[in-house]
Amino acid sequence: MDDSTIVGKCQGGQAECYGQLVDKYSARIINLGYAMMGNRHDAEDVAQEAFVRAYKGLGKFQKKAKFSSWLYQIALNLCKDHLKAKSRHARPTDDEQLANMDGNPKDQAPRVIIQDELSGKMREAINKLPVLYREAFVLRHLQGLEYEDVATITTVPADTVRVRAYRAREMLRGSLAPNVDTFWREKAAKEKGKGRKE
Amino acid sequence: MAMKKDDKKLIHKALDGEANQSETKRLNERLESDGRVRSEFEQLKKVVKDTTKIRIEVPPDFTKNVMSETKRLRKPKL
Repeated sequence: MDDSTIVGKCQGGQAECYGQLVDKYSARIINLGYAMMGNRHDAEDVAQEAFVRAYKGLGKFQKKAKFSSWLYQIALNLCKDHLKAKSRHARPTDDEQLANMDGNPKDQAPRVIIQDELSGKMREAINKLPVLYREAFVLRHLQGLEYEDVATITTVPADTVRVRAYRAREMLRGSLAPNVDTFWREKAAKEKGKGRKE
Repeated sequence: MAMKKDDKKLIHKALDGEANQSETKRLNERLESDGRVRSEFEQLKKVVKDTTKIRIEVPPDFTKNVMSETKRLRKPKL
């Protein structure tokens, strides 16, 4: 059943059908929150709040709009509110929590599927991106959305999203692979020096 | 030495899956002839690929919890 049919059923009084939408989008919305905020508990709280808010607004939802875009928009706004509040009353990211734990952190690690050490570094690097770049990058690359959909969700033109994602990729590359730049700078300097000698 | 703007544009277009046939051909030529372009492209490709590894599981009771929250609310109606 497609989203619009399920929304129609909910609007027609079959509220229990909403569970199908929660099942379908829960992983995406929780992971959106996790990538934006870097904390599993915040991600789950925000995702739950986003689904409840969407449910509350379902009666007014226009079926010609995309349910997923609308839900992403609600979740993203909640993430941003949360980040603003967090800057006042900080809750540590999962990486910070792990660093502060006593004993073997693996024994106490949250339910995060870390495939290798790099994903931890990547998460850290994403959390350091400016929020506008982070949302463009996360929606495009982690959520795999088209630029047009990201533009709808973030309410900026698609070309602006493209530029933000471009800058985010450059910043991430800079923080995850700084040695590459050093290598090429040194190589160029060496070649320049060689040229002078010759 | 900074990379050419054109090369950067091409690389990012390719990463976005938005490069057309002639741009793809041009990029392939640049990748073959310039190690710096190749290295930059590989690094950026890896950054994008690695992001897909950042995943957490959905808690088992997530849908149940959301639905029990919604039961306290008025049913959505047009």
